[in-house]
Amino acid sequence: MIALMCRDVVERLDDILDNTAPAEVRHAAAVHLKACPRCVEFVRAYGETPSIVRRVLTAQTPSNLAVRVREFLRREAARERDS
Amino acid sequence: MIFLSHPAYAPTRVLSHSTDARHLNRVVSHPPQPIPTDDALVARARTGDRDALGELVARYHERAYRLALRISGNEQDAEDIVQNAFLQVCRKLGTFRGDAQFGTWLYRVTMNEALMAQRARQRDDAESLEAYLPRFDESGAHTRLDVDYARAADVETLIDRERLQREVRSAVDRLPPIYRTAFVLCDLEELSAPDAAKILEIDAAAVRQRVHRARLMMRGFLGRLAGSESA
Repeated sequence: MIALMCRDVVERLDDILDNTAPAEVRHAAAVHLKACPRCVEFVRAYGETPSIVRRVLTAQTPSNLAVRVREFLRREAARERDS
Repeated sequence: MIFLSHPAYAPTRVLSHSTDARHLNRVVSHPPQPIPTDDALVARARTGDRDALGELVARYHERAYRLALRISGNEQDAEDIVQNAFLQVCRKLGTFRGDAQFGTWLYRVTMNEALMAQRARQRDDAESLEAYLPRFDESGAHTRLDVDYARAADVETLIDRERLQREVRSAVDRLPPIYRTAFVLCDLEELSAPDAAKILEIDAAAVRQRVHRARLMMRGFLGRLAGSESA
């Protein structure tokens, strides 16, 4: 049976959370997490990072952007025809 | 009652016989047009069909804008980036062979434009986010005491929204570009690793590795931010 330290858990965290790590690694990570509150906090925070950043950086598309893009393309096409 | 089997014709309420008849006549005489595929629109746009090009703009401008904003970190730049990306795509429509999907191609062009804009604007002395990676002692145990992982997940309640937006945008800007692009595509735009890999022209395993490292940096940054607020 393998034993993992905090560094090993952190380095392989994406594979462990995606269930793509080998079963013995996932088992060893589970054993480590039972005894390591710092890693438990880390894993929780890591898992929530993408959704926090997505919520914070919600992007509102400017109104009429599609119209402005089409206008821009028409102008550029006309300019290239004339030059 | 008449129910047409195709979902596009499915009534949303129970109709009377006379309404049914009118509805059926309308459907038979003006059947809904099939939605053209991107490939069909590209083929038409290549012949100079402006409506087809307009439809491609309508389909993709929001996603392109979001990507441009998240990579460049600047709203005015993002609009210019989207315009330039569509212009580049228009100019190269003749050479587009369809090996990749139109969306993948446009995303790649938009991302490259956004990276150039961001590079031009970024200060040379900006601190890289690599400083926020986790640290360990010789035995492999956590040693960072300046990052409050326990409070990191509560950062949205600890910091006011305007400041948090500013800080997080600046942090994404400071991710090294190879990690920022993978993080934005996978974690913010929510593309799969294989789809992001096509845009970045690397393999999916490398994408996952970059996303993982970017998350670690962002995690450290948010933890530090939450910790500084709660100290």
